Amino acid sequence: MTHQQALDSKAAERYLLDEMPELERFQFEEHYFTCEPCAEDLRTGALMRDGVRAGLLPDVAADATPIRTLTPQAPVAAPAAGWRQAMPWAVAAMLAVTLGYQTLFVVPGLRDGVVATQAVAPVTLRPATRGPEPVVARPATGMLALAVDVSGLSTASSLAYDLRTADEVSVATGTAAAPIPGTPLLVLVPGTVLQSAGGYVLSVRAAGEAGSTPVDYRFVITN
Amino acid sequence: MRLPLSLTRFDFDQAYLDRLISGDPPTEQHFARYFGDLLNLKLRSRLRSPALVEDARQETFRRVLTTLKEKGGLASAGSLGAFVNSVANNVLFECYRSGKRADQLPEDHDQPDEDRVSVETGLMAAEQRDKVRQALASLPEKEREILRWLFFEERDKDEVCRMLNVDRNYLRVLVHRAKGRFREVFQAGDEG
Repeated sequence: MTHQQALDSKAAERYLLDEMPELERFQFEEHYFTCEPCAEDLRTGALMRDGVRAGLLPDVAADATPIRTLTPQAPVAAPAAGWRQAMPWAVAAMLAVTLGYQTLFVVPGLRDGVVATQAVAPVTLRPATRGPEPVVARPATGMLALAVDVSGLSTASSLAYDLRTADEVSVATGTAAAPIPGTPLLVLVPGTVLQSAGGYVLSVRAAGEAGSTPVDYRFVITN
Repeated sequence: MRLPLSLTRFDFDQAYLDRLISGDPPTEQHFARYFGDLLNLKLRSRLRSPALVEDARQETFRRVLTTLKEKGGLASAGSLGAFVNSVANNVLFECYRSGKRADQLPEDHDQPDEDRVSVETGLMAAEQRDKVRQALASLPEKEREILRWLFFEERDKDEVCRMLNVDRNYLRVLVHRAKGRFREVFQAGDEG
């Protein structure tokens, strides 16, 4: 991410509002750790946000407890006609992964400060009940890109995911904004997380909706 | 956030690295303050427990300083920030793998985090808290209301947009403006 891209995309605001997908968060972090103006801007925003959270607004009592308002998620409107509808979702996945993908998880001593753009072919995951489980070789370095068909969860505005081994050991969790209807959720898994060969289950559910049923996606990692 | 926004500016050049490696106290202090804030921001969004955040932050500093001393520097002094971030990524993922990340909340968990206010208040030193309070009080009422909805009440952002009759992009613009005004007052307090 360049400084101009950070400004144009209001990256600091989206970061503070927790609106960034995980990959973009890492990209923005890579940027602001090397960009003093962005670091300063983010510090300011974080100070403001933390001050509000700490009850320092004048119209909030200092000892008040924050109220977390839960509201039903509004149904997602049908996508507008246009290129987004026409673009096959796997192609969109490929583009999204290719653009600006960075090698973030390499041992620092080995990277020599080089950040490269890479093209990654994602592995398509569909709900566990549909078709055979994909078998994927464990990436020795870098990431495994998963393109997850979340059409069954299309009314959610954000999604929570949990990647587990077949032994039910959770190896990665997180949340992400739901993709545009018709496009997949992209999950980039560092190869280092997939320590052992064998079966894995990625569970995805609507975030913030108590009792929502997770959809499981299974795949197998081989060495 | 414990620290004033404006730190004494240091260039991350070879001289800075040399001073850091030799243990120069002002440089070490600057390094810890500058990157400590950034690491807090990065780690707090991924690790629930303040103790885990602190552990990960300290481990990142330890590894960075150890590596710098063992290698005698970096290939490019200007890449110090990227190096710190990379080490933090590694520490973070080791936390994930070792299961040190705090447990996920149960599905039906719907309670506000009762510790949150005290934790965030505790992170802010008393004198800084007064300045933050003044800067927040200086914001127009509408901006204060938006900030309260977003960060104190944690309302759903789509709901906030509907209430304001704006889209998500414009909501970011409103936050950006509030941040700009907050900065002006806060920095004026720094200089005064």
